[in-house]
Amino acid sequence: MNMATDTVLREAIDWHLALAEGDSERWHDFVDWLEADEAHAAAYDRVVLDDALLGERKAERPPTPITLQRPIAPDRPRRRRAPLWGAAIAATIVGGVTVSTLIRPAAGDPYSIEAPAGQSRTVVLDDGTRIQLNGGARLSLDHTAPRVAMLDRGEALFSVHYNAATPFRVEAGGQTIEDVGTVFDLVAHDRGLRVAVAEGSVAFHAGDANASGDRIVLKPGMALRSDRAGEAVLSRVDPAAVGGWHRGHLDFDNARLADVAEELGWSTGATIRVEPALAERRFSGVLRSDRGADDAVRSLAALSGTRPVRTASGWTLDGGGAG
Amino acid sequence: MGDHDGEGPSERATDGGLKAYFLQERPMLLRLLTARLHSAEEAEDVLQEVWLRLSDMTSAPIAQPGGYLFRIANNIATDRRRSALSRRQREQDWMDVHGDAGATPGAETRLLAAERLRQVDTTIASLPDRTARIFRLYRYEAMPRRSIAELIGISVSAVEKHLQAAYRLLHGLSMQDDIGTAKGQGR
Repeated sequence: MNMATDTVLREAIDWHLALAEGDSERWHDFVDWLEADEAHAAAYDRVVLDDALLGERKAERPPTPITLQRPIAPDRPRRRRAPLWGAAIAATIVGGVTVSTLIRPAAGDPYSIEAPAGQSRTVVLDDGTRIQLNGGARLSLDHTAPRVAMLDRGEALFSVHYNAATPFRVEAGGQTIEDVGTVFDLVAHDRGLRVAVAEGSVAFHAGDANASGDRIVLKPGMALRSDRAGEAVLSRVDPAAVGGWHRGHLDFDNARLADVAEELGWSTGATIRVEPALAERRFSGVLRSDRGADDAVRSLAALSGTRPVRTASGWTLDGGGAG
Repeated sequence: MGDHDGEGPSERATDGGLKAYFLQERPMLLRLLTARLHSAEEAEDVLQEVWLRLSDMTSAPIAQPGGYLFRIANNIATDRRRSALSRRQREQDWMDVHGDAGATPGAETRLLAAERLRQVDTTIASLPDRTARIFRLYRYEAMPRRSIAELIGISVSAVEKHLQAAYRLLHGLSMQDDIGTAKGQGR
């Protein structure tokens, strides 16, 4: 079966290559082949549509953030509030957590939760939604809008209780994640956000969820990085590795070194700076955060070809003296 | 069905000649389009479009007018398949989640395309240098096989073997016994 599929695919590739310079007789033979079996047309489609995609690539352009359409109205209403019938909602907080009142004019009864650097926190909402905050993360919630959250900074793993009538929405980095019953990991940076989906699916909105910007539906194993300007890159991840920081595993794929250092800091509590010249260097690999900050920083340095230097406040990664 | 005049004595035609070819090849073009589009009606529609294009064409002579006609028809069919599939994909993805229309047309398709291009880059980078170079020249620089062969100093059929190997790998097939053994006929 598999063998047969492979054979058909091989034939389709051969045809695709042959036809580029084929005469009419070749084409007649091709039509015979196409008609001989439904699977032939399907395999040929697969080959030729994929190849058409490559044709759009201008020679040697690197791949490709695409720019998403953000909502047009600049003076967006802060957010639409959920009906007040949920007013009595309260967050159950596991562990000692800083709770402070945010000054957010349009919101009804806001509060925020912060996890100290190097320590995670778990928040369970009344509807069963569970939010695990990585060290250093801050989450803003509102008693009058129980299905809305804002990740002000840092990383959090969301396990959202599905409610068809009221989707759960998280704002981060000026954009919105709308969840429909799923597990996903979200990172808020100054520059934008990164979201990875473990289960279910989420809708990503460039900008406010109620406005008319682009929306992208993400499935398990999909991750999306997007900056505030709407430049977005989609990638694949291992769904089982999503939110791995929670188990002490930080999995990076082609991430900025500066971001890696920042996220490692969240989990370990260490302050890790990266020399500005190295900030944009890319890093792929898995780091352990559960063996202490020093071990993690040395691993990162070794794997990224940088030098770890102790400073008064923590660590700096530099290029290694003269080199 | 290989009983037509493959490479006729004068496979070279101006637009008038192309129209004559079109009329002659019409039944076969229709079969091609029907097989690709799974719809006789849409096939007729595309055939119309091919005819209109021929009318717009300047009268520069064309080598292998037969192959040329089939390529035009086939390319239009491919464009239609692309938009049909991405439309269906979008609807499907959205249905999976919401049972309703609403995902932004285009954005998701473009992101998936970007991701596919990234995969392709990775795959091409993993090829032997010569194969990767040939693939890039062929696909991204649109260089004809003959020119690639001259540039690299190998035969045209060796270039074809490299391309075959690259395409196979891009589709997850093993590329074994493609490079090096330039003997065995592919199919």
